[in-house]
Amino acid sequence: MSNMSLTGKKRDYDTQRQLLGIIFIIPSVIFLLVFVVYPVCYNIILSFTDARLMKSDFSFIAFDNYKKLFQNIRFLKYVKNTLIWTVFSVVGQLALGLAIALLINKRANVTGLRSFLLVPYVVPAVALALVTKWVTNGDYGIVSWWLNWIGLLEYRQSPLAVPGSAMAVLIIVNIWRSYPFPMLIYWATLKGISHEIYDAASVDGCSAFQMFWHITLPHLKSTTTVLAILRIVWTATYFDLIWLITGGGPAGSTTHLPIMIYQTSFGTFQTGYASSISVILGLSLFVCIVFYVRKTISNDR
Amino acid sequence: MRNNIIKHMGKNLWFYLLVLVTVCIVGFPLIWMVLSSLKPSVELFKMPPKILPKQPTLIWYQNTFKDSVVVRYFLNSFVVSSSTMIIDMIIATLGAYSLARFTYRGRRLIMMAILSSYCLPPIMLMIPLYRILAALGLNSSYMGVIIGHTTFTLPFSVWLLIPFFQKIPKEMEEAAIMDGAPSFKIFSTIILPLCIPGILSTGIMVFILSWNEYLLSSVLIISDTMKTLTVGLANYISSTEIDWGAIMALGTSTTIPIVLMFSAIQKHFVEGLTAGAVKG
Amino acid sequence: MKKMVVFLLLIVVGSMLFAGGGQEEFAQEEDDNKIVIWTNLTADAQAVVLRKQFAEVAEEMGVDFEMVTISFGDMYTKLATAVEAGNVPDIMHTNFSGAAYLYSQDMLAPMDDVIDDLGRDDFIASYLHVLNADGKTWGLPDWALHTSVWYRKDLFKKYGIDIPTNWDEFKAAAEKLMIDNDGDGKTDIYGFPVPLNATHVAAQTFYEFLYSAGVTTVDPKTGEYTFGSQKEKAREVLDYMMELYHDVSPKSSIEWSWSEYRNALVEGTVAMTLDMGAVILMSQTNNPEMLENLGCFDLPGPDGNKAASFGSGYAFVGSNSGDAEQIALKKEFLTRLYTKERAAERALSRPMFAFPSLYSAVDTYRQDPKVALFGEQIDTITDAFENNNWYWYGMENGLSQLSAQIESTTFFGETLQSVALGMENSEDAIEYIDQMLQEQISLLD
Repeated sequence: MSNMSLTGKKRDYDTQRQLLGIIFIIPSVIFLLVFVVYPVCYNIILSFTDARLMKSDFSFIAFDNYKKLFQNIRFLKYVKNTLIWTVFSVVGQLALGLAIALLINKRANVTGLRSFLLVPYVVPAVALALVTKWVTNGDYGIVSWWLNWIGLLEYRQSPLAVPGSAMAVLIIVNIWRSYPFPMLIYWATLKGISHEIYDAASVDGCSAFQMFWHITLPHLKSTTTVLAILRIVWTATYFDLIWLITGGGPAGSTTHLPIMIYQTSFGTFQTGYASSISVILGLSLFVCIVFYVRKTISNDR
Repeated sequence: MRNNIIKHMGKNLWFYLLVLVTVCIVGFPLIWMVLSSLKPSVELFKMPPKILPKQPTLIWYQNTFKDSVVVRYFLNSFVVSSSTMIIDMIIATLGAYSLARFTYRGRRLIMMAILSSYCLPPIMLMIPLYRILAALGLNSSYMGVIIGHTTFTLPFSVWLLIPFFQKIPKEMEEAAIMDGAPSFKIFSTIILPLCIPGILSTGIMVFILSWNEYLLSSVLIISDTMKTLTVGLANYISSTEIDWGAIMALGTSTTIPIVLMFSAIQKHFVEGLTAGAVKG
Repeated sequence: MKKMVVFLLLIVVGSMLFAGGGQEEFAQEEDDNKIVIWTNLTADAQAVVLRKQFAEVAEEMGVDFEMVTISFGDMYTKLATAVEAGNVPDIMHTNFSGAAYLYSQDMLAPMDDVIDDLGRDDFIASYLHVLNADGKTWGLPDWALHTSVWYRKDLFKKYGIDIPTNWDEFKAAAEKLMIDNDGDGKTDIYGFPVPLNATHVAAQTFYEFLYSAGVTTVDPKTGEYTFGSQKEKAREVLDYMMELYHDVSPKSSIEWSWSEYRNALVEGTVAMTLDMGAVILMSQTNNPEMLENLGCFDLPGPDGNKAASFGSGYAFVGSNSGDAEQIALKKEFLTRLYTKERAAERALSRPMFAFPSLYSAVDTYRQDPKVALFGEQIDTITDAFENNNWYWYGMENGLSQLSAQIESTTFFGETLQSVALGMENSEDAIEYIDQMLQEQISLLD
């Protein structure tokens, strides 16, 4: 009898606990539904309409926006820009992050240094963009002056006015801004590799490079995959820096898809058309997101 | 023995050299911004540029803050960021606790949804979010911007908070529950205080993200008196006259509070992030 | 830790109070007796004068006003936001394209009665013409601006150059003005910059050359699309512009906007530049010594006869929202802004850039010390306003939203930059511009 009531109590307790858990999650769920899920669906719907920015009514035009997009002769160029921007930025920040993590990994008193190296993570993109414009100013910028001095740039020219180098400047600035995140994660992963493995290898007479190649790198593989996916998604869609530094110029050489979305939406006011670009960009990143989510959640369990 | 010391020094020398180079590269943009903001016009526009200001001046700061609208930018940013932080933290602590400690149907799905939204970039939510906020009559209001910022930061903060709740020993919670049912009271009196470092650091991170946000604020805010700092600062350059000294002064003033705040919490932040964001 | 919690709580309370205050302030905008005025600005001096005049008029009438400044760069985003939310201001001080945009959204009240009350004859006719559509005038022109070539008189004299009368002479003059002062092989002063920043400026530079060669977007008389049938000529214009870019312009001018080219003339690193006279204010504040060396002439046409030039202006427009009483209130407010002193004062907030719209204000303008040095230039420009054709892109035939579309997009800039960098030939570029213009027109309703 008493046994029975105990299980009953336990069941009561479990239901109550479940209920509390659900109540606690409700605000988050509602918020996500209203301001994330609904907007995403709305975006997809808009992409099949001729919606304009200042009009509330619109009509469905099936795949016309998509047709128009794939016929646009500039679209391919912007896709290419997006790829260049993303690949170089991600590879650069991962490499730099790893290098610095390795540099500070084995040292004891690096907390101060680490704090300093994390600072770029929180520097406002706007401030960074303005500094970049200032140092690359054709007439008074110190970087332009240096580049001219070592013979890489014409006199009174700005690297932002030359297509290839404008993209290069943007990528460098973006690497500067975003290496701290990979650095931290790599640093944490390196800390997690047990010392015994290194000690054993050391006894076997492995060189430092061999240890790095055979022990450290394999341990970083999974971290690198997850990091790369996350950074690809964020970099491919990152807008502020390019917009504020070059605005997509010169000659559209730094226009990537987010800039194209913005210009279509707030330049020519074609909301529907802009949504279709956004959907294409989203779809191509969706694969990455799914992969990331699956990997992270399975690791978590 | 002596050889060893020299070798050791040599090794360290390389280390310090590398650190020095890294620090210089990392510090350059910020240091140059600060130095430029301290130079009078004559030195700013002198070629080739000198590194240190010969006659340092605070004139740009005086000019910038004399403009009452700049003070207003600071207030606006502060209001928006702290409101975002508060709303976000209330929703996120509840959510993170629930995801960390409870089991119920759909938990996994919600986890996935939150993680997916964490990856979802602002630019893709921009157009619909803009239309929704306009339909609610919230464009061009603080509330609209706050909601937008909360949308962008909520998945991040939930994800960052989960490990802090996971770290609390289960026994502690169970002991508290012994006398009665699990309730909000137990959450607020026992669980929450244990997580304050995590909540504070996450909250300040949200504050920083909101402070730095540019895109949505620039689209939603109409009037000059409602602009946040980033929007106001960006307008300094898109206007027809570019006042580099003033821009550098305002840039410095925008960055410094954020860097200070971050330095204060970065230890906890590192803890949460390395536990939460990527588990290799 | 405790301290931090207390601090945080203080933040909470403080910001809640403040946010509450902000909301309230916002809600007040709905107030009926308050006149909400938007103005988009390109200079701070403008805001100071406007705010002062609005305060004076508001006090005369016993009403409240709120002035909201909107920077020129994001004017259309903000207008669209406002239109979408049904949140249009009562009065807006904006450029002619902004007026056209609001007109196309059916947001404006016609202003003919106000103009007649003030005396239609006192308004400079060509200013009124721009704001015409459907037989009505949709705004009160405030002042207009005109693109001329601003140049260094001292350098012209020193190198014995006469004012050029056609494009060949113009280029020859610019070539002579490529100056290396110290003989180090680096050019210290360039002849003429071709600024091509993709937002606004590229299209403005191109249109000044197009207009002077007689190419227009739409026919000034019929409003029909004409660019498509003038592509050959447009290509020649583009080729000429590119010759200038390659031979006499600093290479970085591809990214130059207003501030850069104006600064270059004022600081003495270029000898001529297209501008609307804003170099004068910049010179007065940044480099007063340069002031007496500056003069202007009209860009000549290809063979001497110039077809038209590029110009625009600002207008006050009133929204058509509210009942008759409210509209009357707005109109009275506007009427009071048009005394000759106030009109001149507003134009003088941007000396040599803005030219007043009332004949009666021109004399007051002329006598002001801020422009006293430039009597001759005032003659040149006011003469051009009255006797020559001048248009703003897409508005050759009066108010048209096309100008707003051109102003807010970047395809002109992107295409012109591509040609300048040799990534695209001029034929393809003109073809693409034609295609984009047609697309913009198809988007108008």
